[in-house]
Amino acid sequence: MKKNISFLNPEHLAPIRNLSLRAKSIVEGTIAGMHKSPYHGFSAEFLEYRPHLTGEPAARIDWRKYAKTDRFLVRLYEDETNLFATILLDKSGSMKFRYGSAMSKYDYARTLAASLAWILIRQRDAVGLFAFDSAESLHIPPRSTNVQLSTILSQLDALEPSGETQCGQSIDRLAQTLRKRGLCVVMSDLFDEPGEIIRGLRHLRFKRQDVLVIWILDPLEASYVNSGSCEVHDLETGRKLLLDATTAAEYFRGGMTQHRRTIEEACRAMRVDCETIITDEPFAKALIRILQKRKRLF
Amino acid sequence: MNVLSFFHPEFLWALAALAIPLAIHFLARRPPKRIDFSTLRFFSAGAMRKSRMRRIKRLLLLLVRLGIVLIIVLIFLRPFDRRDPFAALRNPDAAVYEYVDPTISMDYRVHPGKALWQDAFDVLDSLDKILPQTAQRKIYDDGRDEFVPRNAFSSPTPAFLRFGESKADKMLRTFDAASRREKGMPILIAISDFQRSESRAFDTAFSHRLTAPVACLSVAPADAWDFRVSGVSASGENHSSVSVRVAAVGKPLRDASLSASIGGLRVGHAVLKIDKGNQADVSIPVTSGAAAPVGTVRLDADDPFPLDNEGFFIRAATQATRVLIVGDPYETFSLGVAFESLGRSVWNVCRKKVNEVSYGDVDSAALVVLCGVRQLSQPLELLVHGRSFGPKAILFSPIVDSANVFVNIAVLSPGERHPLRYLADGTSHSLVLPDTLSVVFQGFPHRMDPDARIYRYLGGIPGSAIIRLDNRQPFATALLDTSGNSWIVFATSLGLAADANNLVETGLYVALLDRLSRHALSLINRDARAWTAGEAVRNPYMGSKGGAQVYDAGNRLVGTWSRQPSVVFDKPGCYRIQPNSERAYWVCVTIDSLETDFSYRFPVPGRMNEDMVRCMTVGQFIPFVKSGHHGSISAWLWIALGLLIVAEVFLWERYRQESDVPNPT
Repeated sequence: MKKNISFLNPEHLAPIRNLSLRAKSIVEGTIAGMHKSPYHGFSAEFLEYRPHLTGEPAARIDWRKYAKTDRFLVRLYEDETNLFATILLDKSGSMKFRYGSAMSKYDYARTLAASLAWILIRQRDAVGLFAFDSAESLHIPPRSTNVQLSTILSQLDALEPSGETQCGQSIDRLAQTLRKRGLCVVMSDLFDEPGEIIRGLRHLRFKRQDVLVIWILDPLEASYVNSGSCEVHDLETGRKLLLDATTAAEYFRGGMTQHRRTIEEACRAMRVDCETIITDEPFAKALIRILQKRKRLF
Repeated sequence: MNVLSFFHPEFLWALAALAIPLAIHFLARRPPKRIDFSTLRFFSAGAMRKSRMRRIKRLLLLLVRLGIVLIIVLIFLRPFDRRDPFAALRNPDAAVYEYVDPTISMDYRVHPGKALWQDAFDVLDSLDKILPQTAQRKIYDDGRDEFVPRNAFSSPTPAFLRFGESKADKMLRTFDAASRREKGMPILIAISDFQRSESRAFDTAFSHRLTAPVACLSVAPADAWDFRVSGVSASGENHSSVSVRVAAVGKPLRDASLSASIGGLRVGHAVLKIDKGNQADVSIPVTSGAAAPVGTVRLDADDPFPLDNEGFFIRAATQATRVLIVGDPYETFSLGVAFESLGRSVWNVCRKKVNEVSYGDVDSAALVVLCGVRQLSQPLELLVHGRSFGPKAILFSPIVDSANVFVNIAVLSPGERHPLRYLADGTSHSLVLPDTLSVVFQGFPHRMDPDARIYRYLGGIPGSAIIRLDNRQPFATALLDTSGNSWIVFATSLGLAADANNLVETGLYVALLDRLSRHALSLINRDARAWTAGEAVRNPYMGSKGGAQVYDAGNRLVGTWSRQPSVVFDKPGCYRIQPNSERAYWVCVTIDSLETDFSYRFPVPGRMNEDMVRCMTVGQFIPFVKSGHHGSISAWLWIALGLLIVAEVFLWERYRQESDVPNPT
């Protein structure tokens, strides 16, 4: 298992341009690593038979039952999908950041998103994608078909990070469109006003969404260590500051700690799972962490 | 701009050490790394400000370190302020000019066997170890009036000292000229006891802006005391006694022996007891057996300055005082006869017409009588205007002629015309002597002489009245003019003008001339009998064809007076003057009273030379030189170094603490 997990390190996956292949590698490696067959327990549960209605596709007729009973019956399952999952992917400029790690936060996030989508589709769950920056960039409503997976993967491939972060407002906007109970997986660095973010999350919770916040951070952001002086350029606005590294570290750490504490406390209060993932963490390990936390979902 | 200089410029290469902190700073400094960061959300204005402060602190740290290195180098370089005049004392290029007061007062012995001049040379010797070895040192040679190399005075002897007034002003002029030529940093170290007369000479020199600094070092004793003998003269009939004045200054005189000797034979003796600060006039009876013409009075007492414990007196006649009578020969005839009647040994008379008077005549005369002079010849013009000649005593007797009053009187004060007036009122007036106890007329028999009659006279004559007429108009007045001449001005003619007065016919005429002449001479201290050792006086034989030989009491020839303009006696004592064509006479030479005035004060540099003159005792001088506070900024450097080190430690500690931000991982 260890060997497999190490194989799934971001630096090893980074050269793989094909997101579908990258996601497949992760998912299969991860599931194998969990000693669990991904095909067990994922079929839909049978509920009852009902007569075939006119106009219904003939493909839905249970021909075996017709052979036995000479009636056109349609098998009803408890539901076609057990979960409506929406992956909220932050594609703002700040997600482009990469310092020393193999992948940028955006690369890491979309790889993770692709892997989750893969897993969910394989479970016959409906998966949607909502990519945002300062405004909505892409919204693919959840579906459980293989085509949906292809669509999501190709869109993820095509999206490039840009624009300013307005995480809270984007989540809020999405929440307004949600009708069904489901799962929202927020993948972002959450560099927005904590109040706005919390408001958005609260809105999701109000819409009966199970929310999982995957907080993607670069190793440098997690523990700012630098030396000498540095000219810091904002990836979103282009603004720059000439800072002494020690002072920069001191202020960044202070501000970041406060920011994280605020959001994490709010998440706990709202019963929102918040998982911080550093981009140098192996995907498999990150996925396992997420999956174990969300066992009941899978 | 050239304000700072260094005592040890050979250490200038050490300034290269400044490169060390610079190298450390620039090597440790890296160009700012560009980081495209996800957000600047957490870098507030405070971070900016703090970053800026850290950059400033780092720069400050560099500056402080540069300062520390610079100051350490400067401490070795030993900079000094060139503007500080006394910085020359520590400068290898210094040209140290030295002056030791050569006047006899420096022979005062505070410690047994050690005189002030020896103390002065001790100080100069001790400077050998303190002053830079490369400093050029010169010392003033009083005789040559120039600064000579110091080694010329490496072993001074008492012969270094001389009698006479201070020539410090002359020395300072010489120093001023030498310092202007000097390429190095000249400084004068003047060591003296700074008697008042000495200080006055310095004061005069300090009235001009000095071009080089002067350190005035005093070797004066803290509480000087002295016993002194003065005013020695033979008195009484046939010189049967000797009058002496003995003073006890600063200490009482107890049972001291005062003895008089003539020709080496002790002829009189007295025991004295004088309280501190008092003086006593003593008359010592002397036996008449001794034949020598001169004698000595000696006070035997323990005295730090024994040179003034001896006085001299003459029993024989003194030198005649030269009198020049100028005027019409007829008018001046009676005057010449009057002076000669007092004795040729007392008054040596010379009568000349106005146009016959030579410079030599005026120069050699102590007393000039101007009798009825209408126009002045050039030598007389110079006389009355005080040029070319020393102070003279002048008796001025006008012709009482209203048409020429101004011409005659105006010579007293050029530019001023006294409003004189003719006051003959048709009646005659007698003379009223002011006071028979006065200095001038002491011993005169009559307070008013009705026999002397004045018929014609002038009013408004200048000066203070000595004799008045019975109508209260002044008859004779005395004054000192701006040139130092003493004048006795008569209101009427002193010649043979019988219509003016009858003085020639009275017995008062001769006595009056004698008294007034002596008074005029005393006003300018030109008593012919008084000589001072070391004082240059005009050669009395300069204008005459002859000369004189000078012998000391032991009959040794000590000098010849011929045509030299001035003559001087080197030491106190009795001397015999033998003119070529006249009778020999004796003179007593005494020590200058100013030399025995042991009251001291520092010279006053004046505001003009405040920064150029430093007055202190010799005891203060050596620490002053050693301390190097004059112009050297070493002390400030040490203070600055301490402050910079404290600043460096503080800044570095703060900088290091700020750098040690704990890593949360």
